[in-house]
Amino acid sequence: MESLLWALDLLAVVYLCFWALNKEKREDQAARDRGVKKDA
Amino acid sequence: MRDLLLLGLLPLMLYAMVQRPFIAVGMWIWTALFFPNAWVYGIAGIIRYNLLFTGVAIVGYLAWKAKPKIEWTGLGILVLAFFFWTLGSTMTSIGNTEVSWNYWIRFSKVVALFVAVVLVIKDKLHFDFVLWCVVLSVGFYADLETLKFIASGGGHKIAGLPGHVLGDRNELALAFVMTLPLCYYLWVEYGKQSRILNLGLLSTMALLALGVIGTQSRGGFVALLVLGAYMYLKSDRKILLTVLIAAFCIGASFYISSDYVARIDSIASADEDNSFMGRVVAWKLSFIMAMQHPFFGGGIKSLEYFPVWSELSKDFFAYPWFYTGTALPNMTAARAAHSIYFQVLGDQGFVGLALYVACLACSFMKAGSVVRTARKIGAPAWLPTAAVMVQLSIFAFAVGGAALSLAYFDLLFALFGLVVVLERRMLAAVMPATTVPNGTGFVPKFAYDARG
Repeated sequence: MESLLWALDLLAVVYLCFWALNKEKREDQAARDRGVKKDA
Repeated sequence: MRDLLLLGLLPLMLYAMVQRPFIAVGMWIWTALFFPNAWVYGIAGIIRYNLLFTGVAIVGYLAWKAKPKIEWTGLGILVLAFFFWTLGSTMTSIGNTEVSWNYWIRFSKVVALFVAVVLVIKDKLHFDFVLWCVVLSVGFYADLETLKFIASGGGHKIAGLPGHVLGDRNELALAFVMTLPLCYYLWVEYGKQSRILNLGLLSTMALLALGVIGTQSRGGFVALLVLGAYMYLKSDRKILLTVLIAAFCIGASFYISSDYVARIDSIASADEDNSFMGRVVAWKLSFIMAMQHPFFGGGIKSLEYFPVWSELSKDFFAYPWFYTGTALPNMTAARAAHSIYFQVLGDQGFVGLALYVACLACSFMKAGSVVRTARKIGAPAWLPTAAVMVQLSIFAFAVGGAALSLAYFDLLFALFGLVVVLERRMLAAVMPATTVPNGTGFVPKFAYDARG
């Protein structure tokens, strides 16, 4: 049970990293599309 | 199996961290609080994750082409001044110098984390990511241990991982209390977006609070009580909070043993409690050390060095107004200071304590000022909520830390960094940059297209 929860937490952390990465990339793209220079 | 999973996911984590420095900074906090090495037994235990993630964050920042402008506020200067003060105290340490330097190096990593937060974190996404990392480390541990506590009918005693910064159950209890408001902010922001997040964050908040009871820590209980009262006063959602608190109290009542009630009752007669009076003795010896070395103090961890402890004990009766009841210093072993204030007083002297308290007070007031300004200018609701919750977390530390030796805690300094970011980047971004006429008068034009 402990190992299962631990594994779920680890997977959640990896998911969080990629969610944040994709969200920032989308926002950067949207800013570029609007012609606003936004730092990466 | 755990080793394989961690090693398998590590490249994915590193890939995301290399792509964006804010992910590396968030993961730096995660690894400091999660302590992955304690969970694995094989080959994965060899890797120093904290050092690795720190390195990735630093290299990522240096390679970042469009670095945001460096923002140093009074709080940043105070934290750095305190850091340089600790360097002076370590150089003049009266304790075991090897231990003092070892702990100073650890503290320099904590300050490096503060600097990284100030340099890298710049908007709501970054801010939220850092808080998620805290919840997925401290919150995860609370979930796991409190579920064991519930499954054992209240018999399981919650303790930290050996060798971790939160290894002591009292320190763990305080970290649980500090994480509560951060979790509440994420629940308000993301709870609406999915049923899983709503239930997950709500249950994590309940398990964090119940976890404090499971640690049997009296200091943690007092911090939880004070935080609950303060959070209630600060909240705009009093009806919702009343329901949540009532539901928690009813649920928790099934798991509170008579031993625990007796332990909490002993707070009222603290002067008769040997454990508490032992702490007062340590406070007095910290004070004596500061009186003997008022400028730089004794140096980090000096009080716990037995030759220093026994030397200070000779002057134990020098300040009779410092009440210690009938308690006397232990003459077989040294003890920790058991209070962030007396710990810093003994370690860093009066100036060091003044700088430390100034950091706490300044961060608390700056966060409050962000809340007031954000409400005044009609900023998005998440901004004042974020500032209030960070303020509450710092407040919980200032209250709960009064009976704990956790002065150089990673999470506290990360929160200091977030206060700087809230004030100088996130609030500044929503401040009216100019006013533009709209035919009916002048309305503020926001410099920032608010996310969320």
